Amino acid sequence: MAKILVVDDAEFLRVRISKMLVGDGYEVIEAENGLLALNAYKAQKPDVVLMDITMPEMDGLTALREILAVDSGAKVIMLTALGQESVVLEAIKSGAKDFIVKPFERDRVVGALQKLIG
Amino acid sequence: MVFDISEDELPIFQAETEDHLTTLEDGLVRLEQDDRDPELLQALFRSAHTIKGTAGMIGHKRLVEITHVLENAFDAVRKSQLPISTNLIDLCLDTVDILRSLRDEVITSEASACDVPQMIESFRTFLDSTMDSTKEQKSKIEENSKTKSQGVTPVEKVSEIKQAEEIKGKIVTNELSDLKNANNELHIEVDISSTSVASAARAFQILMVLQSAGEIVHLIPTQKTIESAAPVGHLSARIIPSKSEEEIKKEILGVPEIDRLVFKNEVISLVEARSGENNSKAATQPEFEVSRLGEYLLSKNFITADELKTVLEKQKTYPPDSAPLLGQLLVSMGLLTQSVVDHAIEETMNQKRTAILTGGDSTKSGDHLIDRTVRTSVERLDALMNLVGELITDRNRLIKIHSAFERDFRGNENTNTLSEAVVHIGRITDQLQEEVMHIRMLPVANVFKKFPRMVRDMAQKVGKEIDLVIRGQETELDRSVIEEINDPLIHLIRNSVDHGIESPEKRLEDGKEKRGTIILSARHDQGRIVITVEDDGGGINIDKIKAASIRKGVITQAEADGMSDDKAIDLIFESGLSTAAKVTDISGRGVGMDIVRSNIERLNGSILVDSVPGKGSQFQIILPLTLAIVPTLLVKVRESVFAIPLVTVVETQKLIDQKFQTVNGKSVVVLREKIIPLIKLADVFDLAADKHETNFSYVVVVRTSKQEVGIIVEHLVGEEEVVVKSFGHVIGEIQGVSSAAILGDGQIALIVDVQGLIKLSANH
Ligand SMILES: [Mg+2]
Repeated sequence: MAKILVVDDAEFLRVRISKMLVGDGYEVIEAENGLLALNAYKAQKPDVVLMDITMPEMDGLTALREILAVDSGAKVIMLTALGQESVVLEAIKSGAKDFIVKPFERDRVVGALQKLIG
Repeated sequence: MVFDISEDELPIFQAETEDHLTTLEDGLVRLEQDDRDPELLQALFRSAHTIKGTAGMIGHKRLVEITHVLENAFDAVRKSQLPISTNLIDLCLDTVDILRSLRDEVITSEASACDVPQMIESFRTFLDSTMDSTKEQKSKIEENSKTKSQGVTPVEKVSEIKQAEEIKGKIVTNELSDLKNANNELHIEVDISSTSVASAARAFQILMVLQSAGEIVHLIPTQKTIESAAPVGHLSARIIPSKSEEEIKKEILGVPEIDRLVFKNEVISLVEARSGENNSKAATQPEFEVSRLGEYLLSKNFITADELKTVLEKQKTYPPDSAPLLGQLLVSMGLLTQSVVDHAIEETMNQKRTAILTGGDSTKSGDHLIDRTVRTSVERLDALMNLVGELITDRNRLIKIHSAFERDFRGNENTNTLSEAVVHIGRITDQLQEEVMHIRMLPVANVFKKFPRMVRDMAQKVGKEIDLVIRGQETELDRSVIEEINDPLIHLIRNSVDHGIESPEKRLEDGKEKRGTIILSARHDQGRIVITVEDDGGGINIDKIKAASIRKGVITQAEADGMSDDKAIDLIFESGLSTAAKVTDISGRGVGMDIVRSNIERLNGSILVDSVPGKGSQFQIILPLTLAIVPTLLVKVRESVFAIPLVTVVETQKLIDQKFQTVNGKSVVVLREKIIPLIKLADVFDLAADKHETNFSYVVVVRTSKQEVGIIVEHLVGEEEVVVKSFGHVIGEIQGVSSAAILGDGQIALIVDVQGLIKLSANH
């Protein structure tokens, strides 16, 4: 069972994504900012990370880099919104595997995950 | 109104948006008080951004549109393109009101009346007039505020297409001239979907695939252009492949949002479904590690930027899988010695570790920091609290039984065992109560949060300038108390705005700061919570209060003449008293200070007032931490037990006869040169005297507002935490008694309402 770390400061988003995934047999863990995500990553070694960008404490871009510094093979998909083009580019340059734009449908999330972990 | 949200998501949506709306309101008010704190702006931006994101997920288009405008305004302020002004704050606060209405649509499923396009229009007009100095930015904001489904504006799009066409032309000529080389080169063209929000990022992903696929001999747009984040619709490249063509094709197709791929002569259209799996071990990782080392070396001046560039370029000439590390290259190119490189690598590792460690307060166990919260209903918590209440009653009862055993069977083995069990259960019950209370605790911020906006709006309405300073908003108290203090606080603050703080002109005349200040604070004090509303206004005018009280028949002229200021100030709690020169729109709502006091005393709390003419007033509310369990002093009068809330108790004294005195026909006692009026519980409640003449041998001095009264009782039973049982509608209100409690021995105690008691005794 693939383990997915969902990182977003909006609880609603975390809950929504969890609901999209749990039905498909993914195991979901949640973190509400980049710092917690980094710790969760180290503790739980998820297969894929879905990472929001705008968050308090530690933003998604920083968290992405920190996670990759811990595990260079980390598979991180950024969750982005309109108007964040340059940040997304930064993220991809830093090693994010993909990005998904909010608002997104279930298929888009599952599709992106399948592409990474089959 | 139908939104894409389920029943179980609603409460989360509601709570979360409420938090952000509060952050917005609160932050905007602070922003106006020239608090240009970048973190504050960041928080405002984030709140708007988050609401927008959530709104998008539930398909609330109007909410998305209007939050987007707000988000852009904050962004402009953050970048110093938009000055902070009262007009801007007004506009933003109005927008927040609309956000709230639109949010409520989701909860009620009913359309709100607010005019979103009109609001957006006003915002635009405002931005037009305030941002004309920075034209370029203004147009950007406008474009953004249109929230199109694409990240590319039409203008940019057109130029992009033109650019792409030009490029195509160039490629053709290039190809013609380079024909002889073309044999071993692989020609690739990619169309990136026009709906991609970050097409440059997609282009970069493709670029990475190409870099790992061989040597890039031609690339349009250039890497530099791609890295500028400008939208990329079309990408064209020629590479000398170092991998099988099939593999390269597969990897390119692994990048999402590609509409069309021209691979050699094959044209693959992907507008519908995209296939192919991403098995590319993206070449970004080594680059990332490299850049850390490179950055460090640069920052320590071990190498120059040019040198780094040369080395990185050199590194790129190797196939990514077998590229030497940056450090190796630097050594082999003779730029640095191995030991310097080793040291630098160690340092960067340390930096990274420190960055991780300082990022949070503890990384000892990662699990700990993961959000591990559970949502539960208030009803459950109430039920849990009630059960704990029952348990406390039983525990108290056990203690009674135990002492009976101790008395009758001292030294008996079973008594000793019972003793141990009772002590243990007592301790566990205490801990359980503490835990449950803890779960029920909420920070007072939950009530305080709406006051900054309220004060701002009220002050504006009456033409005053007021800062609200909030302190101790993290102080926690039981949610039941939180709910109850809301109205009294609104009233007190309203009172300060209206009657406390003077007009700016008056303040200047009096040599005060033009802006008045109201301080709202909360703190814990010996198991109680103290909430203070303090203003630096004109203070309470004692003479006016007295005059009004005489007029209303609350006191006589003679009483007024003999009344101390301390006592007179308490008159503001009498019903129907208002000393404001005129009834204003804001305070004239018929809720008097008398209601405030009775509300607070109903909660077994008390309210104190202090005022210095010309300097200001202070109201202090003292409340128990929870309403369910009250620490009391149990006293006995004839056969009845009364519980006096400890918050009100000042001291207890054994009475010695000669201290009794009579003043104006009323009994008083003199304690430390203070004359304290006495109330005999037995008389007030008409308790029948029993056969034996009893001694009323103790006085319990209690305080309400500034008044101290001595309650004469027969026995002091002791302190006990009692579980409050309201009389409900069965018995109705009994004056002088707020509620009842069942004691450890099964007896019922009446919890005394001190204020009511004083009134009752006055009527006797
Ligand atoms: Mg976010």
